[in-house]
Amino acid sequence: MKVTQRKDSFRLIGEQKISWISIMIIVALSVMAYLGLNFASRSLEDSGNSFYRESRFRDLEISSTMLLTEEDIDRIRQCEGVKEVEGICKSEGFLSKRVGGADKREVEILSLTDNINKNTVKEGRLPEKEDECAMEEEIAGELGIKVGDEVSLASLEGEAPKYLKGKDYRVSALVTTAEHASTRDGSLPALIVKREAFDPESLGPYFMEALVLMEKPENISYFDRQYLEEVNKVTESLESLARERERLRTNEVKGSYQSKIGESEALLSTGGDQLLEAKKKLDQDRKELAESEKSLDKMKADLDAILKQYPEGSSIFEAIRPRYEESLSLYNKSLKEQEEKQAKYESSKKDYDEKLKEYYRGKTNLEDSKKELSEIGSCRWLLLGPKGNPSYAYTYSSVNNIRELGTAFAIIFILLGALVTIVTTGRMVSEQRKALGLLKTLGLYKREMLLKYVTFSLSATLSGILLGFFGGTYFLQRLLLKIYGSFFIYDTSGLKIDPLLTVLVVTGEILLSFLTVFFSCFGLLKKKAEKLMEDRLPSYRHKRKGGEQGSSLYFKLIFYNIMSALKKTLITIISIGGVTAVLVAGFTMKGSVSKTLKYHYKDIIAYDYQLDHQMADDKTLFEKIQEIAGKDSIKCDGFYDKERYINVKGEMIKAELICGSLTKLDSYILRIDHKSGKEISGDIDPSGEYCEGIWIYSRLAESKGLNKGDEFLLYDDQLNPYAVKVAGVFENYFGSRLIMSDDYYKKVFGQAPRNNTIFIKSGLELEGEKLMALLGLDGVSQVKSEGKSYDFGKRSIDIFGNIALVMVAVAAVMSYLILQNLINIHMGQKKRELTLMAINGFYTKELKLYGSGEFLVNSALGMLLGLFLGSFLGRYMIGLMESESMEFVKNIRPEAWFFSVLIIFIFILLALLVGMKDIKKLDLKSLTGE
Amino acid sequence: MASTKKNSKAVWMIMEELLEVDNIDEALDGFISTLVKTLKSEAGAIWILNKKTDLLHCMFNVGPLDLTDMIIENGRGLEGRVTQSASKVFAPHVEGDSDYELSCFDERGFTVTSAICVPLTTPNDVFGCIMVANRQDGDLYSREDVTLCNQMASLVAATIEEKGLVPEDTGDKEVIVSVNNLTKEYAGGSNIKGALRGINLDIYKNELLVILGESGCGKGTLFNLIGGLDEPSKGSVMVEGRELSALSDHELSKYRRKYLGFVFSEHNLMPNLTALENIRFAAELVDYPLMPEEALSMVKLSELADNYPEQMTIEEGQRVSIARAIVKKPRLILADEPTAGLDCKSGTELLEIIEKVVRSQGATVMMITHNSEIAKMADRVVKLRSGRIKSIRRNIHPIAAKELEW
Repeated sequence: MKVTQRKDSFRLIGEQKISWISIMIIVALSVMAYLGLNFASRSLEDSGNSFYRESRFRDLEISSTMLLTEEDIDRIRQCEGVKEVEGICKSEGFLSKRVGGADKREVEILSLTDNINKNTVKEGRLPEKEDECAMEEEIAGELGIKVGDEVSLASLEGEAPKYLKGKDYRVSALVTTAEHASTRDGSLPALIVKREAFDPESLGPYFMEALVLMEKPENISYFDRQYLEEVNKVTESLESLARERERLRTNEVKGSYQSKIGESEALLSTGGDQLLEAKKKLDQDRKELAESEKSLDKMKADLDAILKQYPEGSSIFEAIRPRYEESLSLYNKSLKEQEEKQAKYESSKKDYDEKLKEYYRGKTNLEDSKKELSEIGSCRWLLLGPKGNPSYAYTYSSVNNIRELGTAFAIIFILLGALVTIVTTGRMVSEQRKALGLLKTLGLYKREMLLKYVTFSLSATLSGILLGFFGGTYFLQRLLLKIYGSFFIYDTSGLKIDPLLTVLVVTGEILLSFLTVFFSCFGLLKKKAEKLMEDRLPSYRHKRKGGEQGSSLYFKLIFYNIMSALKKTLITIISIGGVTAVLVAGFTMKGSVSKTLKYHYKDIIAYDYQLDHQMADDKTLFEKIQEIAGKDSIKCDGFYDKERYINVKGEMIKAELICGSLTKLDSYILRIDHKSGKEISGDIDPSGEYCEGIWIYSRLAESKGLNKGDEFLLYDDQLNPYAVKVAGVFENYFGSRLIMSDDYYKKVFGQAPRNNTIFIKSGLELEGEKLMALLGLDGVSQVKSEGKSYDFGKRSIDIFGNIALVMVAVAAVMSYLILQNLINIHMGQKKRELTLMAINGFYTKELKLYGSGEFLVNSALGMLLGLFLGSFLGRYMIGLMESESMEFVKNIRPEAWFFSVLIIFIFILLALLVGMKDIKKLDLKSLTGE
Repeated sequence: MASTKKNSKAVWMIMEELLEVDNIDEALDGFISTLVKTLKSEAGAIWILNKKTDLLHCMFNVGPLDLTDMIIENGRGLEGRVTQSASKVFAPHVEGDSDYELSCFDERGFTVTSAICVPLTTPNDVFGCIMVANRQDGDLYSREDVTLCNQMASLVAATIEEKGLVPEDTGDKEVIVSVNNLTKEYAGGSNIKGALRGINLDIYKNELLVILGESGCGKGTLFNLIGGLDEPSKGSVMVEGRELSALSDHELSKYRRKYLGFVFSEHNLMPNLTALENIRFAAELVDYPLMPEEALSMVKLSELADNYPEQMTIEEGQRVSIARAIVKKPRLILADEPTAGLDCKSGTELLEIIEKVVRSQGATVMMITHNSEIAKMADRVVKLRSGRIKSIRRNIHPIAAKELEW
């Protein structure tokens, strides 16, 4: 570039500084949004990777319905792609302080691992003795437990938790576990004990789970698709082993049952024979007894007849007295013998009855064992990848959500930036059209002329990139990490700079800047010099007849102007549409977050508390609940509620299955038909049709493409699959609820569900003491408050609202700059016409209306376009925020439209106010020669 | 001795001019300018007597005042007394001179300190008088100056006798714009190009007034100030008794809207409107405009009614521009170099339209130009130099636009 050209270029920047600054800031904002969100995503990814690497987070978790044996563990170890395997034992129990703490929390008790899922000690040391435990910091904080405290671990019945030797432990450490990277994963807190704390007598040499570390590239990211693919490969190779071991274990367990049944059958058979013999002998004895009783009776009768015929004292009697007494003595002796025989018989009969009972008991047991054997089904292994860990799933979706949101927003920002550059450069070139013609006449090449505008655009772009880079890296990234940081147990404050991404952004922006200049200038520069020096004919030539009269030309002219500058009009409309769309999207996201929370927790969930119990009969609990709550009007009903696995199109998903009377359930969980938006009542859908089957949550239907009438597999507790049919889809935003009636459950599983939960609708917040009283009821394991669930849900999704707000703020700044720039450009282009009109006596208000009319019309059209696009964009953005168990309301949000239009309208007025100031300063002398 | 030589040179110069020139208006304009310049005077004027009416008309004047509207009775005031008596008045020091009677300069607020007023006489007749006032260097006029004036007056009188010059009785002309002591200073001082330094000028109804001057003489500034496009530093522009600088923005817009029509050196038409629509666009601003088609017909462009500005030649554009100005039936049309960029043929065609507008439609046009040829068609010509009025002359016999050549 020659010195004069350089000077000319810099002067252009000076003359057009408002446009230059606009482009610079718009580029800065788009770069800031893109880099800030992406860097934040990568920083989260890095800190997550560090955490999972350091804790040697398991890649796979294998559990079995019939526990895992040492041999299973060995066989897994030998499998291709498996690097290390460790078996762990697990149980569940209620944790409380042994002294001075009535509060208890349900915890998951894990055996201490050596090399996989390592715990990080924050205070103290890992357990070294059977009666020591370590626990997560958060739960320790909630219960006020410190290192060295004595704690109690108990089952609901107050016994030692299943498989554990004892109840009393001393806290040796506060730790973080690889299982719970996020504080928002909703799973039970972990408590770690030594393997030796588990009772070998009750558990045997078995493990509940095998943790698997696979062979993988050293620096692979846990949040990379490649990682998940690697996991899938190993999972696939483990599948065949799983089938084999499942078969073996099934056979082993069934064989063991079979042999026990065989032995029992043999014993019963022998016992049966012996009983038969005993019965025979008893019968004989009873016969003999009866006969001797008969003979005795005869003897007695004979004796009595003698006495009757020959009364005592008579001679005859005296004569036969010796014979009589002898006979009497014989009778008495026989009677005594008879009594002894009777006693013996009674004793034998008793023994026989006992043995008979025992026999029948054995027989019943045998039947039961046979039934168990027939019901035991097959052993099943469950292979869970990293996404089976709620914390990992949350981190994974966070990392990807931020990245995708960043990309989506940034693309729009960058497009808007490009549009603004096109408008600005196009206007400059258009203004200098004649000068360009002159330069061409003087022999300058196109590239030389182009260079001036490239310098203008490029300098603004580069300055914007620099500003955006620092803003994105040190402001937006820091802000996002601060917001997200509280959701993770590890440090997320490390700022990330990705040189490759930065270079890509810089290159992309430069290229875009060049292309936009090229696009806006080249058409003009291609024209011949004389054409450039001519005035342009309006592109829109309206048809009219010479003498046509009509409404005021003043208003028609606004329309003509719009039509004459279609390219500018279109770009203006698209630019305003773009900024409106971003605002609408941002507000829609924000509104959707609030609406979803309110809708789900206030409208759909109608119960206030959920009480989990293990009582066979929940009727007595209802009375006790009413007694404690102190309200006659309290409403409560029992249901079955348990997490179950489902298999939809080959994918295993954990979901919450609620069963019971659907008519009763309607009082606690409102089901709104996902399609019609109308209420579902019992088994009757909104169209009045009776629907038998399982009602599924909307997110499952959407993500897996399930519709009414489709089938999928629902597993029982033993992971036996049962085909179920979709009865309908209901709106559900948090969690993964499946609902079915008792009848359908019975039809599918062959038995009725046993209620284990009670929904309570109190309408009042129960105080701490009452809650504790509820928790203290026999068989009650936990009482969940929906108010707390709301708070938890709010905390979890507020982050999206905050991101939306940040985006709204960025979009708002950008909107104003774009609008101001567009108005400045517009006013610059209209300056000559306005001057001419002012000279001809148009009043200031007429000039203002003329100056703003065209822009207002374009703005109105742009806003309409923006509302339309923004609703789609908002829907798309919301889709990016959603996870498998979290959905957002995606309806058009009128308040998002209202606020976006209001902001744009205020900005337009502000920008017009600034732009219109020039109307008063119009240099009316500019058209005269002096 | 030196002044005698200079005076002789001036006499010869004037003599040549008077003998050679065809147009006596122009010759007399040149004469008074030369006389004022030779005598280093601040102001000067030629008064011609209409014998039929016995009224004296100020035909030419040089200096800050515009006396061209003045008509006085013969015998009244200094100029009338000199004409009636055919005897000169020499008042080297006016103050205390009992012989000096107040002149028209004094009447218009110009303070005369030293004056010479000589009759235009031939042996047979008296045609009027010449007056010069105040030496620029502050000195007093001398006897030698009086001699020069006498000699020159004789020459002028002889020429008038030969060529004939009878001022028309224009009656009482209505002043539509009155400019008083109009001054415009720019940052950088009053010597900046375009500055005005005390302009006095009246614009009469139905006249074609041409403001002539070199680039930077202030004619554009005068145009802007009369057009209400700029504000003066001092002085005033009075329109119908109201001072423009006292008007609000709205009132100024109303003034331009209802009172004025503008024609610029470039047509400055609205690019997205056709020729006819451009005219209608202006017509909609007033209550009783001409029919736009009629205005277009007046500029002979009816066939281009549906053409856009970019589809027209410069001259056609200017014609539309004139039609746009006249459609409002304004009281005053301000035209800024309307022929700039046009060749002689196109230029004269355009001027014919302006001429027609003035002569047939009764419009008033103030046209600024640097082309002295155009001045010949004007009713009055104001020459500006360095922000001051150099001279104002009335064309007794303006020539037709079609006769102009450049």
